[in-house]
Amino acid sequence: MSDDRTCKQTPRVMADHLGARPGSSAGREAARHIADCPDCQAELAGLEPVTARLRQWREQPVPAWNRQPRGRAAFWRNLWLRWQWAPLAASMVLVLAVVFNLRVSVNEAGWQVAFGGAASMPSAAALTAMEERWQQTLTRTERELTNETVQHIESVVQWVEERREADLRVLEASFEQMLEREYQTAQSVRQLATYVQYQEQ
Amino acid sequence: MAGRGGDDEALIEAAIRGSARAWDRLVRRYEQRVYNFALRLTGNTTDARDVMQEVFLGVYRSLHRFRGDAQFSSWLFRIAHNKAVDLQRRQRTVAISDTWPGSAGREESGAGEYDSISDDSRPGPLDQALSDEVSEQVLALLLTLPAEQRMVVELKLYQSLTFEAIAEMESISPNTAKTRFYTALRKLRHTLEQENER
Repeated sequence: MSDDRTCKQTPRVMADHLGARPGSSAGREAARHIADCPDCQAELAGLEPVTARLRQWREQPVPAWNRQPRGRAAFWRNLWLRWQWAPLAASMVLVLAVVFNLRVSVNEAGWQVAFGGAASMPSAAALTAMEERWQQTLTRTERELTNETVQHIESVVQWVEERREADLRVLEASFEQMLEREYQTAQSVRQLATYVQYQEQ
Repeated sequence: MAGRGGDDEALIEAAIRGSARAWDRLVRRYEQRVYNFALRLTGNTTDARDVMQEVFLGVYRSLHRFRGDAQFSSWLFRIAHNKAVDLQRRQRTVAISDTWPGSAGREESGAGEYDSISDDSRPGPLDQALSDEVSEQVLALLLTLPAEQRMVVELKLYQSLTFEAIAEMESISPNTAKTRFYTALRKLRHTLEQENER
């Protein structure tokens, strides 16, 4: 593997020439260079038998093998392929249920399904019983509500009354204090006048 | 392979819908190319078959993600390339662990560091004879190359990819791909010259 060539382009030129696709510009350029370069000509003479040897490879027949994938990947994939229609079917069922106004009800008689109207008509006895239950509930609610309201209003009135009396007491005390202060002021003015009068004399 | 793109798409569509027959036809169309690709890279028929099975299992799993932007064959060989690289990495890991200090392998090897590393990535001997002697010789010749160089030779000479495509696939620059290709050819020439001298 001695390397006594002097052309620095030899690696690129050899690669472009020996690995060139037919008619490629890189191949043509490499061929032009080789035509003028004795170093590359010598190198090519040594390497061409190598590529010729490599191209003698004959395609080997494939040994017998199982082409259909098995195992987990195939299982999940096939499962998906088998059930990928399920979301579409579920969507269709829901659309039909909406379009045809599907109603499902459960009562003492069990499950009932109806399209486009009430699922079932209750009996007269059941209606009467239901009405009585409603009436009882309404009366109890009204009573509780009334008692609670009256108690609440009374407590509010009492609280307001207490606050009013407290306020009156505070007001009265303030008024008395003010009168007291006024009286003292008048006394002071009178004393001052007496003093001034005495001084003038 | 021209003109097969439309056929491939129809088969892919049918296979995605669950047609076992379409999948079978699709596999038969490409299995030989994938098997030979794997055989030249792994160097033995058992590993090649394993890689081929892994490739088609990977394709089967992600078939619904194939968008048809690229050719199916390009997509398929990208997967095959990744599987082959994975296998080479596994082989290298096993080889390195076998030659870890304390084990006998490395002490017995008198080769330099570069050759030692290259040897680690080389597969074992051919486990089953090929259909012809010439191909066996070609395979033996290819197996003297380190894995990275063997991959570039494979992608250039047998898969006819451009150096730009090889560079993208191998995450290297196009110039590095060219250098690897040229270095590989020189190494093979040296090996052939040694054989002829014997």
